[in-house]
Amino acid sequence: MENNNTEAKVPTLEVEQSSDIDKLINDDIETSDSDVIVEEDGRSGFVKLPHGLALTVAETYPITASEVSKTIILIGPFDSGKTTIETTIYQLFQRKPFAGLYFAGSQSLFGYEERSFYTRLESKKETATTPRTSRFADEIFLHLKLYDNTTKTKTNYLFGDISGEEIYSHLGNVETICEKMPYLKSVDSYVFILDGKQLADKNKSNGAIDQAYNMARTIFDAKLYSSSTRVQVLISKYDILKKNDDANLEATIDKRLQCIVDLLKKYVSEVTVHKVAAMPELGDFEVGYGLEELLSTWNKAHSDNQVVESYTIDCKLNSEFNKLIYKM
Amino acid sequence: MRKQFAELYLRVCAEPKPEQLEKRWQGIEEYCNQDEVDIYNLVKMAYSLSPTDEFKDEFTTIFQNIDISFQVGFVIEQELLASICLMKLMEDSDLSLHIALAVMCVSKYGAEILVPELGAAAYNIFGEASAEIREKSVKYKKCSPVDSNEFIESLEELTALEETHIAELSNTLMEIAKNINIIVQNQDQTLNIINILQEDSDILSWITGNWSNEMEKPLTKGILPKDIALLLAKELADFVQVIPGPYAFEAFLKKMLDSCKKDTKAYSLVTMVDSIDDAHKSSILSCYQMDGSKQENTPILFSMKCALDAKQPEVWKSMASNKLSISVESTEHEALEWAKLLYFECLLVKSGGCE
Repeated sequence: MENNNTEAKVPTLEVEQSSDIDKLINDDIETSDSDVIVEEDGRSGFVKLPHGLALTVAETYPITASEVSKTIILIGPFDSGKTTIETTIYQLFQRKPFAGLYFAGSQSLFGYEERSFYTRLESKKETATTPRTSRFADEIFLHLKLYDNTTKTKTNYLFGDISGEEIYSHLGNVETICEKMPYLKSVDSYVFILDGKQLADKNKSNGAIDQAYNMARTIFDAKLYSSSTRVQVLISKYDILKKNDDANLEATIDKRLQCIVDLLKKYVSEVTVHKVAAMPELGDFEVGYGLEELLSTWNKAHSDNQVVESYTIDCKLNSEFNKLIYKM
Repeated sequence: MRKQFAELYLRVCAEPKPEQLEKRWQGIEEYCNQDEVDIYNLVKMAYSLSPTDEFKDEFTTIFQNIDISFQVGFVIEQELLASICLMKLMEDSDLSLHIALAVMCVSKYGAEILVPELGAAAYNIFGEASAEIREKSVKYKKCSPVDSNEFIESLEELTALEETHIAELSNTLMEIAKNINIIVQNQDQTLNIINILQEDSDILSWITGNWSNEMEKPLTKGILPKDIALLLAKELADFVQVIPGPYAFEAFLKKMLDSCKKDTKAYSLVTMVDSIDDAHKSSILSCYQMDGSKQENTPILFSMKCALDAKQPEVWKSMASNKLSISVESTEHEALEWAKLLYFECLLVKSGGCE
């Protein structure tokens, strides 16, 4: 009798009904903005939970409007390792703090898991891979909230999972990219990825660098940046490039990358070069090689030179008293 | 500003709908068009420095009344809107300098704000205004000669005023009133020039004397810049008669600090405040102190007050940090930079922060 009473008190969970399981995992239902859904969520005791998948641009608003956030856009050709970099960062937090930061939450755990699955043993794949990013997908942002123990602050990172072809379809077409991706204007960091595997191939190396250069030019000519935008030029799969053991090739690549850096410095003040092996094949490199430095670059406070706070004026001074500003 | 707003708003909402942009802009205009705007709390909100709850309610209510979906919990969006309100208010020449000084007092404490352009605009306004004081040429107006002797003589012989006399009398009086206005304007300009010249003379004498009025002793290589920088800032601010003071203020402070021991080390606000004794802190605060919650808009003066009230160094640090929402220990600058910041704070108080 007691048992029956206890059972009667336990509320019925929505997932107990098989028809609701589909409803719960159906992305369309959760992401809808319709009033009906909002009313349902407003029922007493019900809290709308994040759907857990990658976020659309519109879905990032509650995050960026309420807490400190940084939007990182990774741009690179197909199979250059964009998704691997994103997911490896997420996975590195599963064991311990990373780069002095602690995992503090994510609204896109399913999105991360979906992408990370193929890099794990459970996937029974011989090599660690990630699924290909689909072109024109709306859900492009993976969310990671990190806690900095030094500054005692939390920062939301929104990683833009944009397919390589998407940017490529706008190459040299400034208007269309502005129209299609206006949200790029507010990004904190652009990461232009050069595929280390292609760089290691002497026949493809120059082409890979030219591709990165053209992508960067397209973005910056379209004025899709702000005074505080940072740029990272990143060589992915660095383990493969290093395997070649060709010092000359690497020196040539470094020289050409410096030209890209110099070009980008005309637009933004902070441009850095990174060498990363997120999921290396060789034993010499540990998982996430170079990611700590990359994450620290994103997390670093902006230097004062982003927007210059200066009271000095450009006009010619006539007053001898004013001229003391440079005479003393 | 409106076009710039649309660009800046992308920093909190990457894909805003046109009606959302329209409503937020309406809110900004409504706040800025009020008879009284609270620039001190706006500055605190823009720089994440804990504005008062009353202000937060008032500010968010304006936006909520326009758009019911506006969220009180979206604090970053509110910080951005406060920054944009300040930039819009700075377009008003009556408010621009005061806002610029209020922004400059808090912009160097490491807060990563969404609109760093606000700080840049403030410094620009300050620079232009301080240079202009001594750059603009004075144009005295001449009074128009009024030859009224004949008319006055004719009035003496009259027993009653006729219509033509009344018209002529009216014209003469108008001419006299016009001339008086010119004299008043010229007098104001002369007074302004005298004040500027007095300021120039005082500052040049101060520099030539190489002497600290507060310490009542000469500046020598035996004095560390950190021990005297704040006192020199107060002394320079004392000489300012025409806000925002001399354009070369930094050069003057540097010249005086160069007379002390060479030191380019960066110090925290705690070190700077603790370097001066209670008597000098009291002396500074007796001349420069904000009222009520506005005190938190002047972090150095407020820290001095906390230090004086708490007596113990360990206590005042946490008191000041909690109230100011900035870490008084981690923000570090060279002595000259601290001197500049206190100078700005003194000017803010002088320009009406203590009314």
